[in-house]
Amino acid sequence: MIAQEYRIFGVRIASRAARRWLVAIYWALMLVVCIGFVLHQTRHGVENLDPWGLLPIFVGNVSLLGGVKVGGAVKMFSGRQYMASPTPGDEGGLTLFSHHSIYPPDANGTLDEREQSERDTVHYTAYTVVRWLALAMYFIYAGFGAWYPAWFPRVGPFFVFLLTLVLWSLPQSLILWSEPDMEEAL
Amino acid sequence: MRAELVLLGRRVDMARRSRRRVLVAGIYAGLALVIALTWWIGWGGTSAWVIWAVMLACRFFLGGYYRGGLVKPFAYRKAVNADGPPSLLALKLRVYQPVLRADEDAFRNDERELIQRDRAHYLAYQTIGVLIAVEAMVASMRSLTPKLLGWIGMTASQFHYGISMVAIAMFLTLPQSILLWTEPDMEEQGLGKRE
Repeated sequence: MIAQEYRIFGVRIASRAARRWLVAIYWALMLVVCIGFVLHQTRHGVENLDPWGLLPIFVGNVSLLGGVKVGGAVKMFSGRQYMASPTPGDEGGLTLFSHHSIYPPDANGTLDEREQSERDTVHYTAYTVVRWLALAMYFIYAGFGAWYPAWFPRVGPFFVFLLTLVLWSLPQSLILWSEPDMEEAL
Repeated sequence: MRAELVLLGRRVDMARRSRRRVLVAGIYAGLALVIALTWWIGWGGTSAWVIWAVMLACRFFLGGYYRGGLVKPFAYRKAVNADGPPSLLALKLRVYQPVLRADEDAFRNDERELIQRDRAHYLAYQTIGVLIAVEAMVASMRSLTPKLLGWIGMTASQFHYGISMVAIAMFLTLPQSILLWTEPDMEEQGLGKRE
C-alpha cells in the first residue's frame, strides 16, 4: 500500500516510526494552517468563505500522504497509473520531495488483492469516523446557532476546514500509521 | 442483505435487483424533493427536516447503520435486544423484520459481505471526497469571477447550504445504496449455487 521508492528530502519511509512522524508532522502543519484559515475567515465573515484556504490540504495530500493521482507516500487508491506517471526506469519523480520514481517498474503502481482489501477496510473505518464527526459538527453548529450566535464566524470555518481535512486525509493517515515496517527496515 | 422488506405489515419481495434499484431511485427522488423544499422555504433552520428524512429512509428501507431496512447492520455486533421482542414503534408501524431476532445471520455479516461492505464504503468515500472538491472548486470560481456563475442566482451561503445538505444525505445513504444497486438478483445466485 506504501510506495516503496517514495522519499522525503531523500529519506525513505520504510520504517513505521518514520511514517508516523510523517503523519504527525502533516497534521501539525494542517493545525497551523487551520488556525490561519479561521483567523482569516473571522475577519471576512462566514458569509464569504474563502475556499482557497483549503488548498494546503490538497497540496499536503498530493505531496506527502498520497492516495490521489499526483503522488505521495500511499499508492494511488484507484490502482491505476496516472497519465503523467514516470516511465519505468525514470529517476525523475514527480512529487515535491521525491528524487526517485514513485512506483517501481514491476509494480507499476497497481494494487494487489491484499492492498485493495486493506484500502477498502481503511476507508470503512474512516467513513465511520467522518460520519460521526459530521453529525456531531452538525448538532454542535446548530447549538451554537441557538445559544452562541456570536461564535458563528469562528466555528463555521473551523468545522469546514476540519471536516475537509479529515475527509481528504484520514484514510492515507491510517494506512501510514498502521502499516508495519517494510522488510528493508528490519 | 435481506431479500424482503416489510411495509405497513406487508412483505415486499426485494430479491430482484430491478426492484431494489427502483427503491433506491425513489428514495433519492424523495430526498431531492425534501432538500429542494427546505431550500425553497429558507436555507436557515430547516436542515433538520433533511436529517430526519435521511434517517427514516435508512431506518425503514436502506438499513446498514440501523437494524431495520434491507442491508444488514454494518457494525459487526449483535443487536442489544436481539433476543427480545420488536420495539413498540416497529410493531405500531408494522415494519418489524420477519426473522427471528435471535438469529445471528440477521445481524452478522459473513466474510463476503464484509468485503462488499468495505468496497461500498470505499466507493462512497471517493464520491463524497470528489463532491467536496467540486464544491470548493465552484466556490473558488465564484470568488474569482463572480460573473461567471452569476446565472445560478443564489448567495454563497445558499450555495454552501445546498451542497452541504446533498453531502449529508449522500454520506448517510450512499454505501447502502451502492450495495442495493449492485447486488445481483438473489434467485439467480441461488440457482448458481445449486449448479
